Amino acid sequence: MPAIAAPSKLSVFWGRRTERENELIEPNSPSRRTFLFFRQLIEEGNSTSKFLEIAGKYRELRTSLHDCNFLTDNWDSYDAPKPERHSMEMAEGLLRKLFADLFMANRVIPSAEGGVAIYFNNEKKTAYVEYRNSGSVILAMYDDKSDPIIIELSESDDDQSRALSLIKNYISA
Amino acid sequence: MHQDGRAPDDALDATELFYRRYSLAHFVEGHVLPQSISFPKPSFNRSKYSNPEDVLHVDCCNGKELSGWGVVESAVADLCISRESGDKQKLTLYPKHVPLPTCYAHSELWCQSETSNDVKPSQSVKEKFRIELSRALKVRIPATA
Repeated sequence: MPAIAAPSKLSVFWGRRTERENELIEPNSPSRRTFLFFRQLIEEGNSTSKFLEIAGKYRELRTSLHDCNFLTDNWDSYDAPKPERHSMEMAEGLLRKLFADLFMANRVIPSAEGGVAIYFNNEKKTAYVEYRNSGSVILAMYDDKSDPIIIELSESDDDQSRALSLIKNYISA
Repeated sequence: MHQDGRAPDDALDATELFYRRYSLAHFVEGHVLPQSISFPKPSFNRSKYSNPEDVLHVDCCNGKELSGWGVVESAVADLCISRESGDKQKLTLYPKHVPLPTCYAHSELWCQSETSNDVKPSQSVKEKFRIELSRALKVRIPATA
């Protein structure tokens, strides 16, 4: 049994809807309290749904990272070294930071250079942080056409935060 | 497919294709990822002495069987990418036929400057090369794994 009336009935109940989909106008009537109650519920539901989505992706990426443990040298048949524990720990640290910031990457990928990359992309832009076995850290940001932006970072906590901030700004802009 | 005592063939046409294998782990929205390419001297098979599927043959795979892997390709001309180094030198990738005993078609992309035919690019330039190469390579045999 549905707890909330169908949208068409809600429209009647709340008087009117805006022309924009799913946006409700606060009524000037005794039903205002009901309206506020449901609006809060909807906002909480959306927020919880977003959080669960990010949490699910976080688990998926940690599993991908864990799977890198099972790679052996020459895993790509082009002599790629297996990712070393240190580079995977660095990647895991960035994943934790991302999760704390409720901003999630798309993939965790072993690198043919030896190491692990955390990869972000949307329709037009791509970014990654690659933690190499050598200890070097590369941040790359690019789209389909422009010259890639490459920044060499250290393994410090500050640089990890810097990478996160730069990627968020780049991908979200 | 084996070298069988044959010497390298230095005549490489700009329209000749270079093939390289890839897995789905390194594939997003129609392109291989830069993480599938390593420097120095990334490996390819040249089309003059190889079919695309030969890249997946165990003799050209360093002894590995790679079930479900695919093949990407690009014309040599599109892989000869240039970038400026930090000290303003022009660095350019160029193809070189480097046969292996069990894979005669094996070739590499080397990096040259105006003064040397074998330059190790900086981290930044190397990363730009990896990204540009990943943009240039197109799917020839789709990977399924």
